[in-house]
Amino acid sequence: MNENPVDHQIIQAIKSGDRDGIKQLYQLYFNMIATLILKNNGTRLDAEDIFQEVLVTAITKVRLADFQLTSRLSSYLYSIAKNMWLYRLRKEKKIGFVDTENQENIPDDNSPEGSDSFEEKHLLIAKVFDQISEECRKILNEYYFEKKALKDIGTQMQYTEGSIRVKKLRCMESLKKKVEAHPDYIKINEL
Amino acid sequence: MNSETLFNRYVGGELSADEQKLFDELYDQDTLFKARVDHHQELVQGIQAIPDQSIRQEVGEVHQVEIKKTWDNIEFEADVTKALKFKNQETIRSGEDTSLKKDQQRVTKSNGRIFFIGQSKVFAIAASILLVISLALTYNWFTRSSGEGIWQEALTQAYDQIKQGAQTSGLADPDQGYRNLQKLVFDLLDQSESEKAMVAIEGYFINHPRDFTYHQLKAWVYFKNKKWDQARTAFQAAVLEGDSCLSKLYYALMIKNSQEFGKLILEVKQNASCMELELVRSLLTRQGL
Repeated sequence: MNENPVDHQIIQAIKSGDRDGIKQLYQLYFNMIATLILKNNGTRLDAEDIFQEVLVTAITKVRLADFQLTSRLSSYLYSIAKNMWLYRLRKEKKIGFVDTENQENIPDDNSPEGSDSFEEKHLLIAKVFDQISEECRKILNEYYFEKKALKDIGTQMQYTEGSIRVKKLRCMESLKKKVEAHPDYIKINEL
Repeated sequence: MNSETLFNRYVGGELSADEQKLFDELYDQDTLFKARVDHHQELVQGIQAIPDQSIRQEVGEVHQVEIKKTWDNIEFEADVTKALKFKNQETIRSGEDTSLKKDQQRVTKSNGRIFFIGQSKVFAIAASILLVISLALTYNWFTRSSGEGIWQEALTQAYDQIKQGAQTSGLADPDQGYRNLQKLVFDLLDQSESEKAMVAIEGYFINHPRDFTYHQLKAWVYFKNKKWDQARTAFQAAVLEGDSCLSKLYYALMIKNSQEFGKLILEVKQNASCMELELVRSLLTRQGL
């Protein structure tokens, strides 16, 4: 299997001891693992705990001289997390398991306000959304509103899955910065 | 060279090219030797797979730095999902476009620029008058009521009266733009279209100063949806935007059990122009204040 350029870059960073590699794993994959845990009777603390264990296992293996990534990095991390969490569930005799590999968003009902709450911050985000680049608007809209898979969005826009994942991350960062710099944001947070 | 020596040199990584050749032949031909080598290899891999304590520490340190930011980003993603859902609802957008454009068409056009006759001060006066009327009616209702938790019913009555006032305002009203907005908002709330009502408010106040009327109107949207905390916050914002009389009174009523309640009531009482309103005085008296 050809190694994805983003996966390759992360793996090289981890191999060389550059902590940016681990930071990127948090940015790109924590959400995916947290969704798996929260959807399967876990708590936020469980998600953090399992993710750290996944990283320790993955980094240990990546740093072995003969390490070869034979799947996407996301699938690799997911499979480690799934096995760890299933083991813990069995140990605690909790039954039932929902596979969430292709579902990366933590469901709305985990947000403190509930799924139908509507607040000023949502209006602000909707307003600021028009200020980000057209490409970012397309990516975020298709991912968060149309619920398309990142892979499909990437194919359509001629990006690899790894690249579209990073693009989406950068777009979110751009939107977040603009929202936080908006004068109304400060007012909302003061109230 | 016997198999034992060959194996030991293999374990020590000391095989020469010739020895490696011998080793490979033996591995292919001698099943016992092969099993011994495979077992050794499994042991090595197992030992290698035991996480180094330094990796655990490295992950732990990155975790401390990244985790809060990561959760914040996840929450922001949930907010973006909601915001886009809201933004993409065509019905909401058409509600915003048609209703507000209709309102805007009613205002005077001058030199190609649309401007609203009513400006912030006019809004403030008009809104205050409306609130005085509503409070008067609320007061009448109050005199017929008694008991704890009265503020919800009092504000409900006020809400109804403001809605009625907005629906009966005359076309000659100098603050027609704002009245149209009020009417639109209350109509939408009657249809349980709170999100559309919020869009209408936001849309209108893009081109108008966000004075206390902005927060008051939003407070009513929250109030209608029984979102007491948000309604209270919006009334509080109206107070912060300068309404030191009626909004303050509404806000105070909503936090009757807090320490701030007494301070706010004192401020209302010290506001001479506010206390000139008989309704305010009566309301305070009615509440035993």
